[in-house]
Amino acid sequence: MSLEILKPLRERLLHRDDGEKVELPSRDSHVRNNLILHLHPSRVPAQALRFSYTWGLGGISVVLVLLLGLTGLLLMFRYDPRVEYAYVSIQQLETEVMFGSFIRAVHHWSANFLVIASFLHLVRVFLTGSFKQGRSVNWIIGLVLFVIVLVGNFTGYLLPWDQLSYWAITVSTSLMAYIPLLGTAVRNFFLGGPQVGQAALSNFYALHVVFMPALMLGFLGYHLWKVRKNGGISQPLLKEDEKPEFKATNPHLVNIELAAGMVVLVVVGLYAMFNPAPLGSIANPMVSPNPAKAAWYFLGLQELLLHMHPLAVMTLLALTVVALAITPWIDRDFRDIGIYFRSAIGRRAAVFGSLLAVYLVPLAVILDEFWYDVPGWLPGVHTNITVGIIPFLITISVFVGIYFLLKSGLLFKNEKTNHSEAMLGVFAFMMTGLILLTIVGIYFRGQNMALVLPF
Amino acid sequence: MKKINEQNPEKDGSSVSKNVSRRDFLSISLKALGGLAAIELGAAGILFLRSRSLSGEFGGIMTIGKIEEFTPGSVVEIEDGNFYLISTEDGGFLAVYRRCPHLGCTVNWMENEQKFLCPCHSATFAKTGDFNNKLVARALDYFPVSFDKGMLKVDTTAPIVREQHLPQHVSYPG
Ligand code: HEM
Ligand code: FES
Repeated sequence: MSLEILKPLRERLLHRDDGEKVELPSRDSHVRNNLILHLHPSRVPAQALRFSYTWGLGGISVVLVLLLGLTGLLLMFRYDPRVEYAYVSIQQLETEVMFGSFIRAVHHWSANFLVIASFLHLVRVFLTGSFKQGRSVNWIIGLVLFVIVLVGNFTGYLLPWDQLSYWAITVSTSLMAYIPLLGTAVRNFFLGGPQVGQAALSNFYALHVVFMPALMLGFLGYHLWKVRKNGGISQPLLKEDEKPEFKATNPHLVNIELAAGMVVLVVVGLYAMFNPAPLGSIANPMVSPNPAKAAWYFLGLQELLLHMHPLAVMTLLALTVVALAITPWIDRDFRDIGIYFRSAIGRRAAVFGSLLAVYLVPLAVILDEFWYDVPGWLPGVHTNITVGIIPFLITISVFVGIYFLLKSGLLFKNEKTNHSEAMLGVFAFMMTGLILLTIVGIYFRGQNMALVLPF
Repeated sequence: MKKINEQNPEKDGSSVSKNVSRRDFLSISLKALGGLAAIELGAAGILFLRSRSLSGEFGGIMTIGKIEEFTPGSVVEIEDGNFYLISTEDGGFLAVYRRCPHLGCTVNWMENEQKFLCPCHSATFAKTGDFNNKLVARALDYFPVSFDKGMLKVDTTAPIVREQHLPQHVSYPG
């Protein structure tokens, strides 16, 4: 009997296309199709269905956002945003409330996985040049979404009110004070005072449970609508005599999405079961833990802070964001859209950029720790120059240097990389560098933020 | 639309004035009103949010104790005041804010080394609060110290930012 029920499901899973290139939409239930067809066209290019093209990263992010909303709503029934009770309410959640620890862990890990998934999604979009050919607006929306994810995580980080959250937020908001002229006012505005206290907790709570989710909802809806408006996800340009191959959205695309969604649910659920969300001791403004670290996804930035003046780090960050935002206008050649790394030569440029980062970044970290001492070499020169302008200019010239080295064709036996491919090399260097700095920050920084081995 | 206006000026009221038609007038004033409303709401919003920071959650004038209680050369942590009280060898007092000017961690007084150490990125500060590290180019902030009938008082309303330590930051009783 039970097997009878499973039969259509089994058929669905085993569904193979039998050579027919153009399929009509299957005649499934109208209601379900209607829902699906609001998101998708009735037929999609076979190209766009390859899992190894998108890796399902956008869809995975959507599932994670939904999961966050659901678990966040549940947590709200139990969480108390007053400094005297915040920590206690989380403790109760962990020890007394049925499934409290699990719900909190799902919320926590979904948030963390969302950072990873949306970052990889961004990288995928860049590598396939999917910001080209009329997709510039959606690229910008995507960047905004990534910022929303980070700010959402950041504001949530304070809520448990343990030592980790208190000091991570203290360190990060102190950064704001380095913004010229407005700095201190901006920080005091967000904290509602000069130190993290009740005002800061109320702020972050309001931002976290209403403001950021509302922004997320608005931008995410626009993002998804825009994907459809742009004629589906990107794909390579067709050759002269090529005919596009189409497949019915249902079942082909829908099955993949369902499967990916299920896998995400299972992975997050299992992970959360075995790894409860961390909770340190209650926040104590008198004692900074040693080392005091930001949330892991900001540790790349914190690592930079050990080497540079905060103003230099912020300028670098702002320049990177601006560069990413205007990428569709810097790189307008869309003949290579939808192709990973643009071309074979582009792939080599990217590998070169990444490998260079693998050598250069750890080397620079070690040299700065044990040998490089510009302030000592230039006594009497202000630190704004020695740890500010000098390392900043070095970093920028490495970026520019990679671009022109690739562009010159000196590297690959005079096979010149074009503009688009050289940019890809710089991007690969920057992203690999950021990942490496993050790894150093997570695993190789111990007491007093000195370099240590994690094993 | 322009055409119709020219042929039949009365129709849309543009005969009322040579320069601004009624329609234009209405649309301009609507925009102006909308802009005004946006500014009002924005300002109200900002002022509403700003007032939180004036609630006096942070500090005030604190009475710390009798002047004689503090031995010259000692450094005492005043926890609920967020500062260290430094008694100089020559009988002066300096109250330095506990927050590291780098990124805000709480600095610790190291009695053996006679200096302040920040656990977060290991910046160190001399006993006067002066910086001696490459991360921060600023001394520890301080609070004004005053004396009243043999009692020592510290005004912790707002830390005073300073580039480096100067002798006039130290207060002397009497
Ligand atoms: C953009 C989506 C979201 C992200 C990235 C996010 C992230 C986070 C993070 C990192 C924490 C700290 C959890 C911990 O360390 O234990 C947290 C806590 C919390 N979040 Fe969210 N969240 C999101 C959406 C929501 C929504 C939609 C709600 C409610 C409507 C919500 C309500 C809460 C509550 C009440 C807490 C405190 C409980 C706790 O700390 O465990 N969150 N969130
Ligand atoms: S916060 Fe004190 S050294 Fe960074």
